[in-house]
Amino acid sequence: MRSREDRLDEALRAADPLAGGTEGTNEGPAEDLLAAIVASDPSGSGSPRERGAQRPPAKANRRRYLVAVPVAAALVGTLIAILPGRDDDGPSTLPALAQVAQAAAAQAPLESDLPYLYLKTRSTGLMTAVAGGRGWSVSTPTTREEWIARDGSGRVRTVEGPARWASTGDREAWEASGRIPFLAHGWGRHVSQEEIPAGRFRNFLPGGTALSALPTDATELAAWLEQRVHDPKAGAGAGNGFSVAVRTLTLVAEILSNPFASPQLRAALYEAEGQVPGIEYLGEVTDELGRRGVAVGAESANSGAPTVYSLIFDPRTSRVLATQQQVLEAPSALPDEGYPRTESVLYLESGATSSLGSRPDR
Amino acid sequence: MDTYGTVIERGPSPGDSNMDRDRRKRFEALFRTTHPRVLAYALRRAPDRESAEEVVSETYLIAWRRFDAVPREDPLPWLLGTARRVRSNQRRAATRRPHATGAVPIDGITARDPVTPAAEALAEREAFAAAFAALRERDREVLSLIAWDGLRVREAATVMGCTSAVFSLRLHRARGRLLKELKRSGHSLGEANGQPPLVEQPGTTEA
Repeated sequence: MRSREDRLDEALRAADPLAGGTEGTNEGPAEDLLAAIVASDPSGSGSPRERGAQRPPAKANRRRYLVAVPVAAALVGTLIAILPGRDDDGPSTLPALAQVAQAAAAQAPLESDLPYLYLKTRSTGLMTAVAGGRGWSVSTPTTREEWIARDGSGRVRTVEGPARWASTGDREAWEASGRIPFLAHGWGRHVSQEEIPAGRFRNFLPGGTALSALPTDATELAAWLEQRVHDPKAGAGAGNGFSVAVRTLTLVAEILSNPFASPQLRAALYEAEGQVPGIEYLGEVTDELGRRGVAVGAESANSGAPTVYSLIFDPRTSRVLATQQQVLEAPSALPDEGYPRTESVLYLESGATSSLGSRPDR
Repeated sequence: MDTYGTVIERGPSPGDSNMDRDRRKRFEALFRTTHPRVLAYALRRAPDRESAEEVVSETYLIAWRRFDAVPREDPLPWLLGTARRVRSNQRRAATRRPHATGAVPIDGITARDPVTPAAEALAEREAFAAAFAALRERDREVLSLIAWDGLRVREAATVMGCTSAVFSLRLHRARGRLLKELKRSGHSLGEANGQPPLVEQPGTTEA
């Protein structure tokens, strides 16, 4: 009779995500990587992360046989109307953002004796694979709940899947490829939970900057944002190939969605964001839950296809409703079906709560 | 013939010294014999294939630049330890950004079998997945280094940067905590009352 220890080890081995094999680990991409490394300067100092120009190109590997590219998608497409813009080329704030900045400043600050803040989001991503010149995408939904303590510790619980084909053409392309198992995980629903140590959560920015240390004057904050998105050590995307407008939009959306951001900071963020060249007013939109709001956004083709990145918010309350991406045209390897495709994060619920794992007290 | 079944011989480049060529040859041999296991390690822990390939890429770049520090005998633990730190940095960066999870992916449990299994087996898998996910990251890493990556205690200890004795103790405790979580999640292993407790002593797992 097998011991419980043997059964435990057996169950552990059965839970190996790669128990079915490491398909796709063939020699072509590995040889590409090897060639790129030995061609680089072996005396290079510092972190390879800081020396992006010399990093072996992972994308070149995947191009040979299998590409897992998170492709964007989202919003507004035909709904987008470039309505009120700037009056001139100077650093004036978009009128819509100036208005929402006033609404933000008028909100009550977050005050609660409860130890945790709760935030619930639902995101829809697209995972795309390319093999043999043909590609396919699946939609991957994730519901995420966060419990955040004031010391930056907390808990993250995510429920993922099940993945769905983006279109019938995507499934057909996958079947024509010989049903390559391109997702090591993500087909089935699964739950994961992670405990976050102090100082790592949303009330801190990459690099350890506390939100409370940010300027609440729009001009000063605009300068801080500009410095941040150009600093390769700030973790705000400098050098990732996206435009300053997209990088700034992403950083602003991240801070605005943070429950710890004060009304004054939120107001300054909206106002500063409106001064960034390339961020445009996209008009009134409806998110995937049918909530009406207005959007600002910027376009980039850095992901390989023209994509609109946008932030949707309620102009009356300044509350962030969603961030979205919309791929406007199908990349050549993908089925020309179902475009534009949307990838989104919907902000569902937030509030104070008394314990890890509990919903906000009402 | 090597792990990949092919050996690509490259001629020297202009400016190569004998030392450069020797270094490159040794690195190529290291890469070809260890890459599958380093990639497998990364795939098991990264949220997607792209992230895993970034971990592998960065790991070997570090090895190339610090080649003198890579043990000539049994370099795999050194490489996996480096990959672990790279992945840790990657996860910290992801944690700071919204909607990214640094959790170890364990959904292979459901991903591997596209055919709907019997309800009981599915419930067992889900219970195991929930129990494993509820463990601390260090416990998951300790268990998976042995069960998934096939390392011996001494090798896994190198990856974790601790002694074999400490690793064995962590392994013992991680197994105990997993059993507790299994009981909580309703898995049959956690409900095996009357069975003797795990009695493994530190060091006894060493092959």
